[in-house]
Amino acid sequence: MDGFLVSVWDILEINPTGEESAIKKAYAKKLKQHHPEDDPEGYQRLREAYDSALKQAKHIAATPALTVMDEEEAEGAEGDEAWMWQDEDEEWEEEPDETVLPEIQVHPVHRFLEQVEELYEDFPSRIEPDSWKALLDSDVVWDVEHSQSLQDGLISFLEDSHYLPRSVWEVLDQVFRFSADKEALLERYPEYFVEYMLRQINGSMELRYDCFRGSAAIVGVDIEEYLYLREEAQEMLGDGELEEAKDLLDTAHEMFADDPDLELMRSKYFLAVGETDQALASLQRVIELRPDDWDGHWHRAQLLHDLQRYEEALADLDVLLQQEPHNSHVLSLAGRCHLGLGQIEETREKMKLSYEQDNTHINTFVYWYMAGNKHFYEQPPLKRADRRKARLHTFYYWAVVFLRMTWLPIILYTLLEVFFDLPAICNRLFILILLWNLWRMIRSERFIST
Amino acid sequence: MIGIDLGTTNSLVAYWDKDQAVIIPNVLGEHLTPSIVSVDENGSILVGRIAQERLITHPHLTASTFKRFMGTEKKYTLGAHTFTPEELSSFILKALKEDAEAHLGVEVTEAVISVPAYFNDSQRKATKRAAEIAGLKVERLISEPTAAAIAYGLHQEKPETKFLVFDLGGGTFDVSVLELFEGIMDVKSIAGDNFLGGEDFTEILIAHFLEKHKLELASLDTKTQSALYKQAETCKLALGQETSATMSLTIQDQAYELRLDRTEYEKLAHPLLLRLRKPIERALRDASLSPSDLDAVILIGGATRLPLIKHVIGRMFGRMPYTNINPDETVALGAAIQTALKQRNQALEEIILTDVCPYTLGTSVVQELGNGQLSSGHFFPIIERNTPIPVSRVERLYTVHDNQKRLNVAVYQGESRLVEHNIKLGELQIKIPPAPAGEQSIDVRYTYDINGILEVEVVSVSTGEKKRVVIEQNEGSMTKEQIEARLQELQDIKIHPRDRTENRLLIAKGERLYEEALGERREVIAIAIQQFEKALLTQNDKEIKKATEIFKERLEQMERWMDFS
Repeated sequence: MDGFLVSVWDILEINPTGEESAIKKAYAKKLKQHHPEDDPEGYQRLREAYDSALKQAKHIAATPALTVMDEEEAEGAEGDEAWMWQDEDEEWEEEPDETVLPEIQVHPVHRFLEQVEELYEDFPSRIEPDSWKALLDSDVVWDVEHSQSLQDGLISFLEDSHYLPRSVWEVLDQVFRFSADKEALLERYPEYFVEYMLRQINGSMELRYDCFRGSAAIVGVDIEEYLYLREEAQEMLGDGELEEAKDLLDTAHEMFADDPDLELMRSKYFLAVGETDQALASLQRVIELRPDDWDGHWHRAQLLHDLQRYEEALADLDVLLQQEPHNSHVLSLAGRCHLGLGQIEETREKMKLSYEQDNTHINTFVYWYMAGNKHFYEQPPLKRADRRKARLHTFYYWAVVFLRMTWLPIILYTLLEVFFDLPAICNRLFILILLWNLWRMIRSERFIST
Repeated sequence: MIGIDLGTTNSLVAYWDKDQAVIIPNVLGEHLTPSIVSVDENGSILVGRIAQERLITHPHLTASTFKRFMGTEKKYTLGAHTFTPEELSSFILKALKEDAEAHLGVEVTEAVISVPAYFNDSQRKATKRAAEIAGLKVERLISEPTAAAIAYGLHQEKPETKFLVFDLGGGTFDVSVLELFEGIMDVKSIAGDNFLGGEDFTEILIAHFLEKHKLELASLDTKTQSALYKQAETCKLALGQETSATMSLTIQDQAYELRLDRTEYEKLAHPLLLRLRKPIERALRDASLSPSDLDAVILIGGATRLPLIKHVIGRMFGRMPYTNINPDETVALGAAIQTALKQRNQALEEIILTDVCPYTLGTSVVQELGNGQLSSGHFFPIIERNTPIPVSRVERLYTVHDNQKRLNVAVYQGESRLVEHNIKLGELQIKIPPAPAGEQSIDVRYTYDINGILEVEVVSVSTGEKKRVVIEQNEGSMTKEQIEARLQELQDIKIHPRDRTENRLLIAKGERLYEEALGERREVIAIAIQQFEKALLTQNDKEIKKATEIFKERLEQMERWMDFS
């Protein structure tokens, strides 16, 4: 290690120093000898020495007692910057508003974070993306000088207060471009929260907020508590912790009963524990609250299909098909309902449409063929002429199969018969081969037709 | 030697004239040559302004903004010919070369060509090949911001300065942070967005227009599409000067119009403006600098002329950008200065240029998870982004299976921890003697040269067997003979003679105006074109000259009318 360190200054041909300008001067002088164009290796060595010297210089300047220092410590010094922000952050939090004297200028980032907090506390504005858009267009957000500390401050605020609709997360993402640079986020923030933010942005775990908009029923409800329960319940359901989920769902439901997303979770819970009637009632409620809700209609249709209430299921599926006429899951399920009702033609039609959308949809395939078989089964008996034709075809088919199996012995036998006088054993052998193949053919014909 | 700025929308050529860099005008006397190529009725190639006029009249025979697809497999079919983006670029380079030769009176065979700093390996190689096809040897590929920085640095009084170059061209966005000290131009970091440029600020207007009138772009024929594009472009530029502007388009005799004011446009452009921030933040972070450490912010690329871009830069840096340079010409001038530096010209105080590698380069490795299981596809960086170049780094990799027979080294570029999110540049394989897992190893050496071209060498530690590749992404699809044959083919394609460019341009312009006009005006234009063509046929220089003057004036009149109607 020491050998390497000495050589850094040796390469630059100066004594260890904390003065940047001296290092730069030395580097510039040596660079003429190791021009990057003519001497790539020499340049690389010089450059590494230069960068390392600059790093050490910072430390030397800071701690004059040390003249030569360890490379690793220099690295450590750089690492310091990583926790700097947290430090800064705590400082702000320790400073309650009241203690800030009017003549002291409030840091613009601090002021911005206060505004964020204000907006967050004002629930009706908080769920409107436009209010966030307006706030995020302030000068301090654009200012690159503050971008890092501002983002750090914002994310640490969000870690504790993250109940926001997806549309707001999308606005945040547009401004801070979280989803474009996951790696950079992971370097600075805890992984669970990075994942959480990205999930909120892409909407895979979306819980909607439109039911709270202008709702009289939320007056007096501890909305933060409610949102906490709702999200916690979602997580428990996802993990299959049904007991915990039930408690959370019940408490939340008592607080506020007009949330279709909560109602959907309740229906999932009831389904999971086999309480079909309750599940149906919940789904009914979802659809009442939000008449065009996709999940509500979809889950209800599935459930009704399983209960063999095909007509009702089809009514739900019709609503979905109006929204998305080409959804192959919906088409396929509609086909199965028709199948249940014995409406073979409708089944085939739906399955064909579904197949056109997605030719890998397994359910479509299976039920389409099932319907196809039934379709032919129910056809009236064939006409005489047709039947004869069919028999003729079958005969041709088997004739070809037989010939394919025995063409070689036939030709061989014929040739030999023409050119030589064959002993009787050959004739017998030939007949035996013919019979054997005939037997094989009959056997396979039987096998196929069963 | 000449310096060339091969841009997405416009290209320029410059040279070092004794003690300063000078832009060479093209045959029409203009500095900017549009990077547009068109094929005419006889199958010969038209380049620059003429091609630009034909973008409206013959869109299916004309190609533009192909620089965005450099280094990809994209093909352009223009009439009977099919070209790759680099072949199209080679026509531009050839035209620039001829302009330079006409101006300097000597043959030009060597050039310094600028490329976006964020161009990757295959894009750089495609640029090099384009030059070779045009008969130019590339003495150096220089990053556009670096070229601009040299041009800027040359006029700096201060001995030491740190600055940021903000390059928003037609199709790409680059940010570079540089430091000039002791005669060294040191690039500290580069960041960018390869899919953000001035064209995007035009396209949002097109999208807005279509949305407002409930039209589908695909339902419009190519001519209407080109006309719409031109309207959007004009509108974008007009919004830079005035507070509101209009776009109008006639589709099957139905006129569509859209009036837009600056605030509305800013709203539309907001998402694009937000995309400018991340690369700036990243470049500063990698350079360990904050905006207050910078002495200047320099703007290059035509799109930085837009007031809304200037405004947003003001907000981001809390100060107005440095405006004493011409954003269109600086890169070409910088490239010309670089030619002089390369030849170690006496008039120049030596500036040594040190650049960095814009991407992290590495390979794919298998990682051991805690439970002894292996997980593959992890990115193992060998050269980190923003490492000064030229650089050569070596890493040792070990086998993971008993009696493994060979090791596969895949070369990736990117910043993700998983290789699947990075770009694969190439691959090589090396045989190794069988042994228990972890006992055999190879040394992988990545060498990134001063032109930004990567070479990978793999050595088996125990046998000393060596394998190396210069990463060539697009090679393999063509053999050497095929390339030769293609070169021959391209040579046989006629290029419109340079000395008749002006007349050809006038006719192209006339045709474009004809397309844009309606009714009576059309006829007036048609007659004017006919008369001019007749004059050309006389082969009488005097008469042609006279007719040219008249025709030119008429067209100008016509254009003014149309603008005001």
